[in-house]
Amino acid sequence: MTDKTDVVAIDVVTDVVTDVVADIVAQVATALSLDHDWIRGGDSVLFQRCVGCHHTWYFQRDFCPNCGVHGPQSLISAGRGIVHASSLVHRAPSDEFRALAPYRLLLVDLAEGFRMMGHGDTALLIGDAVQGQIRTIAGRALPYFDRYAEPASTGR
Amino acid sequence: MSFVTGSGLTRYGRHDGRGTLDLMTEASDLALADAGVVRGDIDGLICGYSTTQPHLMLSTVFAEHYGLQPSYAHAVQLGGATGFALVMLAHLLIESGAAKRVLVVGGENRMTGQSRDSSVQTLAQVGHPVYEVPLGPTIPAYYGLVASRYMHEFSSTEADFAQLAVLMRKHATLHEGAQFRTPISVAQVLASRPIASPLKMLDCCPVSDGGCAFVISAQPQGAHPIKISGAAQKHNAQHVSAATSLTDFGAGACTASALLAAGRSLAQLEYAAIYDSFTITLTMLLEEIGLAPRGRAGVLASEGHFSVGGAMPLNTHGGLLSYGHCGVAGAMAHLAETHLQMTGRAGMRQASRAGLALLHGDGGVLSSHVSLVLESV
Repeated sequence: MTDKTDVVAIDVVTDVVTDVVADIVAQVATALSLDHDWIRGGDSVLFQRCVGCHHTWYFQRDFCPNCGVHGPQSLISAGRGIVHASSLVHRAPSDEFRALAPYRLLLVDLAEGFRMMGHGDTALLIGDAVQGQIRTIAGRALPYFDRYAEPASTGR
Repeated sequence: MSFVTGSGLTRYGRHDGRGTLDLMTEASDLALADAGVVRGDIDGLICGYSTTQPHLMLSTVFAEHYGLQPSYAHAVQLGGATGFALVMLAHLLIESGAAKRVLVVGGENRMTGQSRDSSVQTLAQVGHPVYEVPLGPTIPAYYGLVASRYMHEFSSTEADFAQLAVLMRKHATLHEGAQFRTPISVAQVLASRPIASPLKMLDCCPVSDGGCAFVISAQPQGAHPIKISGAAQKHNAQHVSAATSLTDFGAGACTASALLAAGRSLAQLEYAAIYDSFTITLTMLLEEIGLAPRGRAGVLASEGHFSVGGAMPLNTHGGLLSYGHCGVAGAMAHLAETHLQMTGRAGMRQASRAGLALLHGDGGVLSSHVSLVLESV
């Protein structure tokens, strides 16, 4: 005889299995993508998203700073965003950067919903649409943003 | 309830051959004398930190050096907000009964005790060590980013910022302890060397040597007591990349809490002492707090609103921008000047009314906020 309790129990087991599989998938994805992060010498910008509340952020942690849930997703950003703030730095902090001065530092709002600091083309202004990439700057692999133009429509 | 019963402020600028403990000592001597007390009367010691003398236990290092055996000692680190945070802590200690007479002291040979690059690099470490510092920012660059957004949102100009540098310099001309006392014009600020756009050299405070100290007491003792009637803090994101807004850092909420604790309102204030590491810092804080409408701080300054004879005298010693900035003691000079104003001892700089004052400091990149409300007794 199958009663309501059994059905609920089977659902619970299915949920647990689904959660375990999802966790493994997320962990594998995280392990793979972390190597891409520019802070580890990779060629991408990574950000994180909470699996519970969907809060999105930049500085890596193993929990959500908004709700505390562990095991956030680490995702690769497409690098597209809008310039939120911009400063042309003339007085550099060290010899490596002195050779580069003046250089432009930006705060960019990425389309995925997080903000980050990057270098950028000296002509960039607040509100400009930009595309990021990792470039060697002052001897290090650092995020750099250039103006982004939507590709022109190719036909009708 | 607690009272500032003595203050001591050295001149700011070069103090060749003088170290952190020397400058803390000089300021403490002045503060004890002003309060009319001796070392044995002090039962609490609160200090900040020094980038030229980093130590795990600066408070007890100074206690031994100066000859104190306090029953409470504490060193606090909150960047530029430290000075007022020390005073708030002394206030809370006294209210709790843990101490009756606290020496609060800061001092550093930040100008002559290290190279220029070393100072710039040390300060830039308030940025994120992984996500910001490797990009080559400086403190002016962090604030330059904030200033760029401010100008974008409020359609203000670099000349608006410059008005505040001009005002601070004008005030400093009347204080013999100030590092820079030659008057400057808006044109000179605009023409000064670019540092991190839109900020130029004269939008930035100098690096100085100096010291400042206070005696905070449970009773209104001595000849010059003023009352600490409210204190509050507010801390948002440490890093500028993580700030939720570049035009609202929490200064308004912080001062509102301090005024509430004091049972006072903004409209009742007669004197203001506001942190001014850069012209954008002072602009942001004045406007977030509500001492100027959005986009209007520079205009009000040019109209004399914040002058000694104006409606809201502001940083009449010249502020960080012209009196100087030696780290923890930098903002403490704002309180030393407020103490003089509130006890009628500011000489040529004396405001006609300074019975109720608001002080506000920030640390990091407008990350940490501390507000104090002081009243004459």
